Amino acid sequence: MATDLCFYFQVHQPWRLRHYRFLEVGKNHSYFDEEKNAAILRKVAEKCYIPMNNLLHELITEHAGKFKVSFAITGTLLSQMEAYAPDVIASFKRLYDTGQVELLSETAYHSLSALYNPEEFRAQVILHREMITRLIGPPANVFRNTELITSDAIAKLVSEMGFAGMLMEGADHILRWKSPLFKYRMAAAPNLVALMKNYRLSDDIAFRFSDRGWSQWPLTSEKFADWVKMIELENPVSARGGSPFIGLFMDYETFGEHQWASTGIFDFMRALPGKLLAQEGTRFVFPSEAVARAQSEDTSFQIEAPVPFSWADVDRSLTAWQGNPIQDASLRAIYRLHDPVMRKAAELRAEERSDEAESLIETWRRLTTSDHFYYMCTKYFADGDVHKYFSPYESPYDAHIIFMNVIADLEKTCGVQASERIGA
Amino acid sequence: MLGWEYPPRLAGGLGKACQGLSVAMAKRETQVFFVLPTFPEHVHESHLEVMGAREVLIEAGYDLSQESFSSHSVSDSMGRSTTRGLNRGLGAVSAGAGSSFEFLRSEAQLFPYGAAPDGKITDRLEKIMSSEVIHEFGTGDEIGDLARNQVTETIFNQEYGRAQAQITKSKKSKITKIYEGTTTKVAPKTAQGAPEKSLKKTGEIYGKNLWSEIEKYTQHVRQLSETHEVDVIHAHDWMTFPAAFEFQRVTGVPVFLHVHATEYDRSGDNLNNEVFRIEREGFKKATHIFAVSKYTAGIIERLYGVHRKKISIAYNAPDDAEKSALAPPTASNAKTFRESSQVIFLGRLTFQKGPDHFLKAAALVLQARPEAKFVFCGTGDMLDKLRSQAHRLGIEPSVHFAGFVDPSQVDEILIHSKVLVMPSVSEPFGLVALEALRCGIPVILSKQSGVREVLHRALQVDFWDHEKLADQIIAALTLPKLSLQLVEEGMDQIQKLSWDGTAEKVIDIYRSYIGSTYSQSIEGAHGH
Repeated sequence: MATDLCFYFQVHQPWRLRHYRFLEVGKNHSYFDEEKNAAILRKVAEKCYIPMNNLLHELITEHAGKFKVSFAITGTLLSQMEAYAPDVIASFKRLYDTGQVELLSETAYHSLSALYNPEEFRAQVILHREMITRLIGPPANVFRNTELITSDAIAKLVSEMGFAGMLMEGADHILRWKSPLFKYRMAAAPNLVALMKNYRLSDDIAFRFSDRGWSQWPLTSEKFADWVKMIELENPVSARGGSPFIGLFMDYETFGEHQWASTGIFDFMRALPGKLLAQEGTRFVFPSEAVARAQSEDTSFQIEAPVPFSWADVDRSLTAWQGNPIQDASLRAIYRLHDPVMRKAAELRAEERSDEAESLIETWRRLTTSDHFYYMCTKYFADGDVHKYFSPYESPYDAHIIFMNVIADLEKTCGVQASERIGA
Repeated sequence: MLGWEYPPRLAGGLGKACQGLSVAMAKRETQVFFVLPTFPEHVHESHLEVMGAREVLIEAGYDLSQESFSSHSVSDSMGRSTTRGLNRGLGAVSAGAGSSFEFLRSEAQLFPYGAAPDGKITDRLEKIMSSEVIHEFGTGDEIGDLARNQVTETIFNQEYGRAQAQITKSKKSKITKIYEGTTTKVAPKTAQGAPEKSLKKTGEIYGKNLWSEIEKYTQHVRQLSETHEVDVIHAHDWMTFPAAFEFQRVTGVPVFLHVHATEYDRSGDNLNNEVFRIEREGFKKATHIFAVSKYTAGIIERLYGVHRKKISIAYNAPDDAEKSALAPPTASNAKTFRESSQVIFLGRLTFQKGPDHFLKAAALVLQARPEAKFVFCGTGDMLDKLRSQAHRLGIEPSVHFAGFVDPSQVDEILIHSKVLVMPSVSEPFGLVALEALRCGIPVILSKQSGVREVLHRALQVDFWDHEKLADQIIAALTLPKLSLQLVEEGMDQIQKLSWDGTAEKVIDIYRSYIGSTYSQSIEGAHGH
């Protein structure tokens, strides 16, 4: 009798744009808000990355080989840390060197390229692998897509790249009668093991921890360990073999940033591994271990996802990033620029201006980061909810205007006509 | 309810708001008597009566050809009057000025926006507004030192520093007669200002008489206390405030003031001090105040020194017709829209509406979009200044001063434009934004406006941020998906506004002050 617990933390920061005006088009090609990006990174590092890394290091040492976690650290964050906070990279490296940390693969730019351009998707995954290997260590053979966005087509792409497993949301509409506690195969890519996020237990920590209106508030490590125990009791070793798998997938910024230190989140995490490990049969696993176990178990049940789904919002849809007119116009505009940017880069290289070529491609790729489209989502911009909306811009409309101004300049650089703009 | 405008005779923002609220309240079993200075139509529906004070009194047999306040009507007013229907003040004789109400039957109207009365408040009005009325529904205690000392320059500069607003720092309440000798004292009712041709006439004829008109209205309303028993007085904007308090003096009922615009919104740094004092004293004496936005509530709080708890927000709402889009975009409309590069300013050309900021942004837009056209619909005291500003900026060919546009043609102009800009320095609400959405074009709202509180799905900008304003105008001219989404989401938000909701809130607040008395009378009305 055993329960496999798998912590996976998403660590990400986007390259936010400054208030780039249309009147700068053709005159100024610096788009990113260096100051703001550096300031936010430093703030998050101090509130979350550094203290949480230290805490995890203590726990790993304390539980000598029994406690382990996994991370997906985006390339946009890695490059910002290189520029503004090399000490944070060192901190992750130190954690990784304990051997109790696994790194996952993803797109370097936290982009939606899997949905819009498979070729670019593969390029960004390879870039990420190179980057994180250089800075921290090589990633495992398990993939997680941006915001856990998954579909049959994406699973196929991922499987074709040689990955053995993929993390995804244990969404009700995908699992239907199936339990998120078991591991599945993707119907579209039977070699790919699907690891499900246990959204109830994950969101208890990530979203509900400090919610005083929640009936279970305050959440203690004892209470959480009891819930895990209950799952184990209710789900003994199944006829199909294998142990229940509990995917605790969440943003790393949960600790100290989304849930402030004053909520007690660090104290909760400090106590939790001990409480869980005290229960017989409970063990922590890497995603790669869970995938390897699944391969030796009967995982004949398959998951189908003709329509992409994610870990966001109640409906687990993609409407946080796409679907409204300004999001779709922006997405069309940026992906339409792929070929012109690559052509222009090739020209520059031929003229022995390869620095400019690399910089052009890097800029375009930073604009593919999903956050830019998230800022244009108006469904969060509900009545009276404006202040809860987290965005560097004043409104989703301003986010779109700034993004399209940048696109206009990039189009000019690449010598292409803009068809999204009237009269351009 | 006391007001100066009511459709169909006056179909602008204030009149429509008065109608929207009155009708919605009447639907909620509240008996509403809406009293205008004069209103020949005399609407009489279930729970709603709209009447001209003058007509009602004449009908009741009063001889208004020889009227004035009786000598004792104000002087004995100190102290509280709890007896309703007390007969006082009729029959005294003075020079017949009854004919001065005639103007209200003419096409030109007295309009509190842009209508600054000449000279000083009359002694009688002064007494009504300054008397320390003591009643059981709220006292002057909530008013701070700030108001007593008028407004300090500091406060103004903190709040409106970028507008370069200044105000006379004075404890004596004297101010230059800013409007003396100008022709814009009295403007007919329209959001854009006055039709140019009638400006002169209306100014000459009526400007001097405003105080006596207010006094006469006040007297008529007091006389109505003999024939009409009410639980609550609800007065719209400053011209009705003296009448409200005079009625209260006689009957003792609580007074609720409804602020659609303050003198600051109308005149900015050119505050008419007499009007300001009527407002300030009114706010002090009022039982409770309704403001059309949080923005306006903030002005009442900070510039007039009223405690925020004494103010509630009563948002304006579009009527049902205004909630539906005009003609759905046809192929030809869409083509016109695509080809249009027209940017609209619609409103009076006065400092507070920010037309100069519109022009400065226009100059920036034209650097990137030389084909853009900027159209001013409206007239006002800044017209000449704006013309020369356009000349100085070298953008005259791209700027058109359309003058006063007939309200029936406004929709047509909006439909053929790309975006409406409302760069107000101070805008209590801004109904014109809703009109533009209805015509299928997005709006750029000044952050110094009330409408943005209910329409946050819109482009918004500080009126002084010309660079950002220019950027938003360029975006509205060139990003069709953005315009589409702004109109769709804006229209969605408008649907949530309703006079029913506002009426419910107003009635709830009445109840909180007069409690059971009011509930009983509502039940009584219901039982009929």
